[in-house]
Amino acid sequence: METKTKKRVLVTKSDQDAHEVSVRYLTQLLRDKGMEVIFTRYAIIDEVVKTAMEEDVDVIAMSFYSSGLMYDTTRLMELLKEQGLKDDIKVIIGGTISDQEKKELLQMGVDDVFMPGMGTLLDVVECVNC
Amino acid sequence: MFNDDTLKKKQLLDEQLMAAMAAMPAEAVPPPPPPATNWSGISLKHSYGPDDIKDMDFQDIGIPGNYPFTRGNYPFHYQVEPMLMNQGYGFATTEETRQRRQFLQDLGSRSQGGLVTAVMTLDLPTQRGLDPDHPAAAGKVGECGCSFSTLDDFSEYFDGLDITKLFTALLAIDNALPINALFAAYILDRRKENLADMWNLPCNLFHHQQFWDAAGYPPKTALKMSTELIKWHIDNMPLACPGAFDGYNLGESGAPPAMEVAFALAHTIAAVEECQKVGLDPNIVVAKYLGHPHVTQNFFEEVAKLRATRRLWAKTFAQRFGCTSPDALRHKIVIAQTAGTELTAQEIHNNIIRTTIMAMAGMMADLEGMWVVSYDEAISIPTEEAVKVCVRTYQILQEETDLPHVTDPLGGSYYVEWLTNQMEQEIVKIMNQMDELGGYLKCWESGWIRGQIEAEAAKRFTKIQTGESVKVGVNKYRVEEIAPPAEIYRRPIEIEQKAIERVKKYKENRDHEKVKAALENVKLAAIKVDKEWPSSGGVLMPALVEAARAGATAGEMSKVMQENLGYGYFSG
Repeated sequence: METKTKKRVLVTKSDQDAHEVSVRYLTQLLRDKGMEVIFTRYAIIDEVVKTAMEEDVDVIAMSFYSSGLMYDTTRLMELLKEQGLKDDIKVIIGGTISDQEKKELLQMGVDDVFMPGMGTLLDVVECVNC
Repeated sequence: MFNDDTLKKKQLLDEQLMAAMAAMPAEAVPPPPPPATNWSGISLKHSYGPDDIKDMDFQDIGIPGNYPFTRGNYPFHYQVEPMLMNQGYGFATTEETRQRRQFLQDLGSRSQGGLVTAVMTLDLPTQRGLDPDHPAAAGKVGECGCSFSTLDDFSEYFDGLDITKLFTALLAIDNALPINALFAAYILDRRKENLADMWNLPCNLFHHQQFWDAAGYPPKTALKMSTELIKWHIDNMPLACPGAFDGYNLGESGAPPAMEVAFALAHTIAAVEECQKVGLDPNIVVAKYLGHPHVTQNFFEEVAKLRATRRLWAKTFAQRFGCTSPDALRHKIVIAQTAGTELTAQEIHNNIIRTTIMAMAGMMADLEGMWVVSYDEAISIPTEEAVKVCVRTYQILQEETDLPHVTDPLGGSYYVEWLTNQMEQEIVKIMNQMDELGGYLKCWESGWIRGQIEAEAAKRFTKIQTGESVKVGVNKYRVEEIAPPAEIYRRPIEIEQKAIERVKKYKENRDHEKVKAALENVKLAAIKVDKEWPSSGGVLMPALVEAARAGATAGEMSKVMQENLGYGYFSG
């Protein structure tokens, strides 16, 4: 009997933001690593938690080119706490993020933050997979 | 192109070289390097000669200012008219954006005929048709652009400025009809000026689902919206250029240069055909299209692409649509944009070198104008320091170098003319492929176009990951483990509250019955556009202008349109 199930990852981004090329490529890399990836665009951040619950994901990975970063992430973490999912779901944020914002994101419980020029998408894949 | 004597001399030189190499000891002759392949997939030789373009008709090269405009649209160009500085800007609210415009003006930034550019990026909620008080706008107001939704916003930005001397382009994406309706209402009612005096470049990007997977209007509807925008401006604002030949966003999304032009041209052909359905003359419509291509660091490939684009444009609209007006046949490339995808967060000042190379490619292709992006766009919307460098880039190229002295200085180069031909053939090949797959619209609706672009983006990323494509300071010669913390612009959070309060106040102080009736007319017009096209062509934009004059916000108008015309995911 197979006990190890594939890791399920929700990769998501605001449907207002067109800067999606690298997050789509990340999706492909995660799939290549054998993970099950659900890629969505959300209108309102609340939808992300709903999708995460419905899809029973292990990881939420979100990408921001600045717009809505702090607002959406704060709300996401609040909702995960409300649902008691904070410890079950790993949250990874990537995008154009400053040092100060990174500190604040980690303080609010985000598991890892990827900033411009930090490494490669392969590092993100590793972080999702571990 | 060349007489037999010239070709024989070239052949003799080639033979002499081969003989000399054959006579050398084998170990002294390095193996010939493999030929390079450009990004569009064209295999290159090590050098070029007259034999590579011997079969060309000289008419296809011609002289600057003559059909088919391979060598540019004008006999004298930068000698008399510097490259237009059409860089966009916009953030926070109208007040902050207006300060940035003044900053650019003080630096000497100039556009068409000395007009001051007002190419304004609107924030993401505005681009999607959301007012700042909409729940989905929360946290995003004024961040990636300026928030615009009411006549008061127009007053804040434009009052006191001579709008007849502004080159105005409001980058409103899906909200373009309501935003331009508000602009019209502002001109008519608050300024009491003539629409016919305005240089407007309304954003015509309703087809963005070709390359983005963000929400949008369905393909057939998008073509109708484009037609509405074009028809209203032709009828009311004849100086405006409401057609956008957009390659930039295709390129940024991943399309290599030839693919970018193929998809952009296929879209323009479909959009012009749609305009014909509502009775517009292609001679007038085609002249209203301005070019917004992507320009990467592939210098010669970009120069050849841009020259091929102009030639293919002239031939396509002359032969397929019977256009005869020189204004239509000259493809005016007014806002070529340097590629954001080329910029890196690491060693960020290297981006100044990159954007300069891209700007030089634009000049060597004799473009009318460019949007040179700022070096910090890899990480943020531009700071003042970075946009200052952009303005100085144009000024140094134009006024300190010899680049502007001669029009189309690369014209006649064996390589450049050969590559221009090859790029043209590659573009045509991709367009023919779409015809074989059932036509452009089908390729768009099925998601085939976006699939092609995504596959190319993935290839590009893989090449960077593996080091096959070099990014200096990133995947080669890297000395920094992590790029130093960057100054990333964030608008103060109070900006959002200010914008929300402003729109709420605007909604309180108006004749509600009048607004309701005007929005009902927008609804009826939208239904007509949906159900009675093309006989209903031209009914929507006037209804929107009346709604804007009655006090409706952009978000209210967009909502009615989205509810009645469909809005969501329709490409694949």
